[in-house]
Amino acid sequence: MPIELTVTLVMEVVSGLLIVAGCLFFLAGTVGLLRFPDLYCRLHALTKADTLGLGLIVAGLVIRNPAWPARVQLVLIWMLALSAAATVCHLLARSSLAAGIEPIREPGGASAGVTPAGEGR
Amino acid sequence: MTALGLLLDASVVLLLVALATRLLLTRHLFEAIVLFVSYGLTLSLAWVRLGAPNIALAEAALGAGVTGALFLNTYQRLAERIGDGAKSPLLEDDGSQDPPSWFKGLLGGGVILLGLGAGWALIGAGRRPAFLPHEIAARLPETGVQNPVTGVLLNFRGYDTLLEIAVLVAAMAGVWSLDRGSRRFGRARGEPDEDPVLHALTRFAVPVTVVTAVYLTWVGSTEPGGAFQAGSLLAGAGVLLTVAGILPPPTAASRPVRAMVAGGMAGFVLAGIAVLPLTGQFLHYPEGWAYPMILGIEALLTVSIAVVLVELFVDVPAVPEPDPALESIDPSGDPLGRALRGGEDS
Amino acid sequence: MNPVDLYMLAGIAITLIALYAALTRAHLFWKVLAINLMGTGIFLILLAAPSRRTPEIADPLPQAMVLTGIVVAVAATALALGIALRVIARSDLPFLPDGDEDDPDSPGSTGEASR
Repeated sequence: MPIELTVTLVMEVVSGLLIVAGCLFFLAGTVGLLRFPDLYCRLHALTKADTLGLGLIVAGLVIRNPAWPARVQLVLIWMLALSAAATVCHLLARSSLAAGIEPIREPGGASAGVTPAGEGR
Repeated sequence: MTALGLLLDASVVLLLVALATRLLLTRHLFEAIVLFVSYGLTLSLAWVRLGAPNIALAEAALGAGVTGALFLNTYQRLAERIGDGAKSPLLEDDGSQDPPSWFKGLLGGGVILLGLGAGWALIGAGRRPAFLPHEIAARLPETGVQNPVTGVLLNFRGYDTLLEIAVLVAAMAGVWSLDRGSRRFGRARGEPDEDPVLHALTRFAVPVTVVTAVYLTWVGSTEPGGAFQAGSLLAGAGVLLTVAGILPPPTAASRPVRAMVAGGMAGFVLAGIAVLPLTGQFLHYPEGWAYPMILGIEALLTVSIAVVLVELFVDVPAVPEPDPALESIDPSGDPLGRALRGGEDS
Repeated sequence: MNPVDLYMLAGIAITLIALYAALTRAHLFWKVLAINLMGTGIFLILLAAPSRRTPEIADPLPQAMVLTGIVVAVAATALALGIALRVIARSDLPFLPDGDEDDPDSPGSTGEASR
């Protein structure tokens, strides 16, 4: 088999594996969103898993796409999504702490205690 | 591959119909809004599958993004008015005002019949080959651009786009006239948000967004992109700046804001008139001038659309407290409120 | 079945479900949501119906029309929400007042009388 063809084949397989792995992380994040008990756990599941999932998919697509401008665009998109997700997660957590929503502190502990409004401010 | 594609299409279609049904029938406003945003994003997937990336871009930015933000903004206003934890028909519709069930049944039956009829008519409509797409493709070089959608929007059907920006300006005027005497959205009103993370994101994202918007406007002549997508991106940057308290929200009273809102439409009309002595027809660009004129109009449109969208987001009229607030509004400064109160002033 | 047909049927279904909701939900916000969704259903039909006829070439005319429609829909939704908030500010309820009811708190009736 000519070396060029082998390289193409290996790249195809690697990129396919990366994309599938990325999708699995998205799936895990979504399961976390649906199953976790309070806002803070859900944010944790969602932002971490989805950011990594998107990174893996972008890596897979960068390998697959031969055009350099498209590759740079893909990485830029990932970086923007990364910073936006981190910021939104931080803002959500901050504003719900400010609204007095307490995180669950122990496994299987009491449900999220909601202190009277305004107490957290 | 086609089987996989069909599977994807079928799941997108099922998801769309399920989301639409659920969001229209649920009794909780917040759930409906979240589902609406998911619906918009799924719909933009559908546009990609239908080979319309131009629309997918606009749908994700406008249909899901800006409209969803508008609804969330309104929800927040209502929640503040009600107070924490209280139940109110504003946010939880118990259906007590809905029409009687015989009407629902009748309407449901009618709607199903209508659906069957429309499905039968459209599926059976035959596959007579259309000539228009080929005609457009053949005459595309005359438009001065290579993206057929931009060619249709700004050359063949320039009138439609002119009227569209007119609708946008009219809606803006409507929202402004509703806004008399209400407080405005945004932290810029008092305390700027000192959150360092939000500020860092804003500093990083706004320049990138502006560059991307300029690129989208420019690339619209050859590839998917154009004034509407670029305008909504810029609007996103504007909303970010306003929410972070870096820029004060634009106001109707500010002359630059009014100039930017009117600029797109004014430039479009002036360009249309300017070509009259050369070609004898409104909006009929002279040969060789089509590309620069379209690019100029698109640049003006981008700014207008961005400012209008930021305004529409920022300017959702606040809900005044029921009675004292109505008393406190000066009737002379609030023609609509006066009309609503039955013209009690003399 | 052609995948494009699927999208066209979905467009019909969404338009009609939204029509049903717009006429049976008294709550103003659901009316606004329903009318917005009705528009998207029409867009789906508008784009899918012609591409059944010429699958080999994407028809730019309906694309341009839908693009225009999306922008107009955003502006109309914003205006409708503003008006709905005004109704709420007046009556504290998210419903259109009955026109024939002579309630001084009902914007429709008093507005009619004064004009």
